[in-house]
Amino acid sequence: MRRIAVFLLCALLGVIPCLGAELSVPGLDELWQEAEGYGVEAGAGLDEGLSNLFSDGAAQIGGLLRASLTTALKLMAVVLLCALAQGVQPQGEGLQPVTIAGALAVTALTMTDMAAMIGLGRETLGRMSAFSDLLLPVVAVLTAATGGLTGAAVRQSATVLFSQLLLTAMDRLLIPLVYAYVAVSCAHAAVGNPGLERLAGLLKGAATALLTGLLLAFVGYLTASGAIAGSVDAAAVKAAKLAISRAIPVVGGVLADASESVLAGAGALRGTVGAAGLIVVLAICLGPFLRLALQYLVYKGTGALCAAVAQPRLSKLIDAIGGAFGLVLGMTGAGALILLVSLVSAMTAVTA
Amino acid sequence: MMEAARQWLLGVLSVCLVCALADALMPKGGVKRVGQLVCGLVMALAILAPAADFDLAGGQRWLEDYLAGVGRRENELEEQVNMGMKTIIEERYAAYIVDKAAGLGLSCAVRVTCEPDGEGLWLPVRAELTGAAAPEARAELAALLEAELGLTELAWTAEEGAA
Repeated sequence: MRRIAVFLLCALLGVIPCLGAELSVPGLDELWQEAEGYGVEAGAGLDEGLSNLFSDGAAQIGGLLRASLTTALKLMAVVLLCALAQGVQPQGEGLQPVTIAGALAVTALTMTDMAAMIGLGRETLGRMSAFSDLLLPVVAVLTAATGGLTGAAVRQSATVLFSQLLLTAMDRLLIPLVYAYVAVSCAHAAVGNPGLERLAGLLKGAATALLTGLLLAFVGYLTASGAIAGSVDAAAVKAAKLAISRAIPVVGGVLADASESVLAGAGALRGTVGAAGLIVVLAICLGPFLRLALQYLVYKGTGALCAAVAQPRLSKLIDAIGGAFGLVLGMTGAGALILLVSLVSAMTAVTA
Repeated sequence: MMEAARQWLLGVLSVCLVCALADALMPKGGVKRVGQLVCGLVMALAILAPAADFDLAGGQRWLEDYLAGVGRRENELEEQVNMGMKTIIEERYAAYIVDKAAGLGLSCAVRVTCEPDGEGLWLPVRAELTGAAAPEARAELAALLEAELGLTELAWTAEEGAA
């Protein structure tokens, strides 16, 4: 009996995607091709994809950590040399040549990493944007086929708008802000002007506030417009059902049968595409996230260790550079979050 | 908008640096106090400057463009889903007609064309049937389809090689 029940369940699960295939979805084949490029097969489950991602992450983390620790050791060597030089230098007022040299050395050592990480964050956002150009129209068509027409249009438009806004903000405002933050932090470490420290704090705060504001605006808009669009869609579906019930019995039967099979099929396919989309977005982010997060943690840790052996200005500079990596991590995370929130919202939208 | 924000931030940054430099160079006493007041005023001006030329109409236009884009996308999606549904429904009607024809002992291939009624329902308006059938059987099938589907336009094409 149990075997029959399992067989029937498998048969039902097998039938639903076939019904979904009845509705032609432009761009679906290209989407699966692109997803296969990231190692995600059509119909792969979310758990399986997440498990693969976890394995990939675990395999990468050792090499990335070694690379980050190499820079940390160089930074600690600079700080220790500065501490030794400071010990033999007579104490005095005004500018300290050792501190200036130390600040410049720390900045020079980290600028290659900084440029590479900013490039990595920008490239990751670009790849996510290119993938979303394929993913969002497909998800929108499938959501529209399940009855969420207005919601699908609003969700796709808002996601594209906010993703573009983030990319533009990153290129024109956020990356210059990060560079300015590092430059002002370096200047503060060199000359010790408290105004520069406050200015660095202002720059970091501005970048953080901009990213937070963008994400809050996106989530707020998506929630509010989704609620409104959901009620509009629900009313439209109800009206369509009423119209079908008033049609000639045979015609009504054919229409209801076709609508139900499209609804069920598109719903199941939307779940499959959405899950694959989530895994691909996470796969795009995995490597860059690990690299940025490790850089962030290693720099913060190095800053804390240096504070114990050297003067606080240099350790603050290392900490500030770690904070700059944190900002780049935040920008990349914001891009991923916009796509993930949009996908989850589309997958959970229920109208019919 | 992003360019304006960038210009504003660069402006504030420049003013901050100039003020910090001036503060460091000014001699202590009354001159420094007046200088700090002037620096404070200049910084306030730099921060508040964008409020003076805030383009409200531009923002409204941008919002209108965005909402028009959402409307266009909604129409595109509706069109895509409707066309997909039309194809599926036409196939269902065709399968139904083939089934009914088989019930009358006819073997034929059917192609149905649908059009939306006032409420957006896809109703069959024309069926093209290909196959051999006697005139009585055709008339019987036509009457059945008119009664059950409201289909009045049937076009029969004799199958090649059929009598």
